Order: sequence, then C-alpha cells, then structure tokens
Amino acid sequence: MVPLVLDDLDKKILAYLQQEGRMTFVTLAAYLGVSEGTIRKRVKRLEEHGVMKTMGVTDPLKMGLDTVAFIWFKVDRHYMDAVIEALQALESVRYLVVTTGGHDLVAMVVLPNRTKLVTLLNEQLANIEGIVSTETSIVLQIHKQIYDWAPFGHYMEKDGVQG
Amino acid sequence: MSGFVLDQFDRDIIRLLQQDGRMPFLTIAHELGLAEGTVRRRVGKLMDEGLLKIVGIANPFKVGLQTVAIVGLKVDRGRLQPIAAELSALTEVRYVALSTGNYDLVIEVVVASNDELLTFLVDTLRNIPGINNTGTSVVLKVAKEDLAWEA
Repeated sequence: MVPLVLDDLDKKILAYLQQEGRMTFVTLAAYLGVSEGTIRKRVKRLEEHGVMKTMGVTDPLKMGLDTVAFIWFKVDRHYMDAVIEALQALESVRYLVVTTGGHDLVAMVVLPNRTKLVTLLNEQLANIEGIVSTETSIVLQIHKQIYDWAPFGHYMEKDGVQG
Repeated sequence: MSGFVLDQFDRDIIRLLQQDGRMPFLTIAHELGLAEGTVRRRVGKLMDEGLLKIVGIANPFKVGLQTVAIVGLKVDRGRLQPIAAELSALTEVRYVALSTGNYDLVIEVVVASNDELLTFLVDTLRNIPGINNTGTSVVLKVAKEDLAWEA
C-alpha cells in the first residue's frame, strides 16, 4: 500500500479522535465544516492505512493485572529472528521493540501476578535459544500513559473548539 | 481509585471495546444480552473511574514521528516523585513508570527525528536536577504492540 500523506483534514480528525475516540461523525463533521460522509471516508482510510485505530485502553495495574515489567534482552545475532518470533507468540508480551544501544530487544510484559513473572523468566524465556541475558524492571507505578503522541493538538486550537 | 470492583459484564464490555473502540453500544448490548442503556451507563462509569479510555491511537511512524526511544533513568531517591512528575509534563514523553531493577524510572519518548531525541537527552533531561544516569534504547522496529490485555 502506498504510504498515506496526511493533509490538514486528516490531522484535524486525528486530533479530535485522539482525545475522544467515540466522538460521532456528525459532531466531527460539524466541527470541521465538512460532510459526515467525508469524515466517514477519511476515518476509514486512516484505519486501512494503519495510521490510526480506535480502541478502549486501560491501566493494567488498575485492572487486576498486578505485574507489569520491562525486560531488556541481549540476543545472539544469529538467532535474532527466531527470538523475536518466539517472544511475539507469548501472550504476556504486549509490546516488543528491536532497539540499538546496550540491548537488542525491549519487551513490556503484563501478567496477573509475580509468580507468573517468575515462570516467564525461568521457564518460558529460558527455553528460547539465542537469548544471552535479560534485565528485568518491575513497574511499581504507572505515572503517565498516553496515546495522543502525534503533535496535532494545535489543529484543534486553530478551530477554537475544545476537544 | 475508590475501590470500584469490576464484574464480568464490565470486563466483557472492556474486551469488546479493546477490539473496536467505536463498536455501537447496541451491538455490545446484543452481544452480552444487556440493554443498550445499561452498556452506556457502565461505559460512562468505567471512564469516570479512570479504568477505561477510548481513544484513536495513531501509529507514530505513520504520522511523522520517526524516532521512538525507551530510556531508563537512575535518579536521586529523594527526587523520584518530582522527577516523575516533571517528565510526565513533557509532551514528547508518552509513558512514565516507576520501576525496580537497574533503573528507577522507565520512560518512552516519541519525537520527530534523531536530532530531536538528541536535544531531549542532552538539553531537556540535563535541566531536570537529580537524574544521574540514563540508558537509551532507540527503537528500530516495533515487533509487537497489543494493548488489549485482559484482566
């Protein structure tokens, strides 16, 4: 798929939906001075190109999932693809990135309790060939967790409308 | 949090909204055998309690933000909470967690370029007193991102 180049209307739509994911297309159309059909088409296009998706998000620590941890991995280069694949397949791994720096991979894991973390580290990860070492940081408190990181806020202010 | 206890319907509603944040309340109601008004009320309650947010999530790499980094910080113990608060106030910081282990804080930074990341690491962080050491992992590729965790 050809990458989508966002125009001002796309950015305005994103700015509003980042604040309020269930804003109706009628309301959005009225704010932005276009038709509801246009909004509907634009949102669909943003979703199809993987630019945006609308979803409910929670704080796992408030949802009874008591253990959130970051795990930093050093990986034997020869096994990199296989290790990534094995980690992707683990349900507790919710976020996995390939990185530069002192480590090769960083994963965020979410688990119901500490015992499950021990099982993950000592059994599941121990069985993945190619992991050289891990460092684990257990999250004690989530101070900030936002999803509106695209710098589109000014597109809302420009219209003089609060999100 | 005011000791709000989630029941199975709350969890089912959250699960469906994690799949599609814009799923009509009527569809959810049919799916779970509830009245539409009940679903609407429960979603309102979950959002008021800070347990659920429904947001459009942009892929940073597709909206012109080319540099994502995970940074671990070691800080002066007595300054842990103020530093966490100062970092949380920065727009380019999208995630801040207090942690055990090698780092006291783990943050995620999303910026437009490597130049901006450099500015963040060299200027922005230097101006926050009490940060002693940082370890920066620049994200080359997101291999998995699944925020729909179930309780």
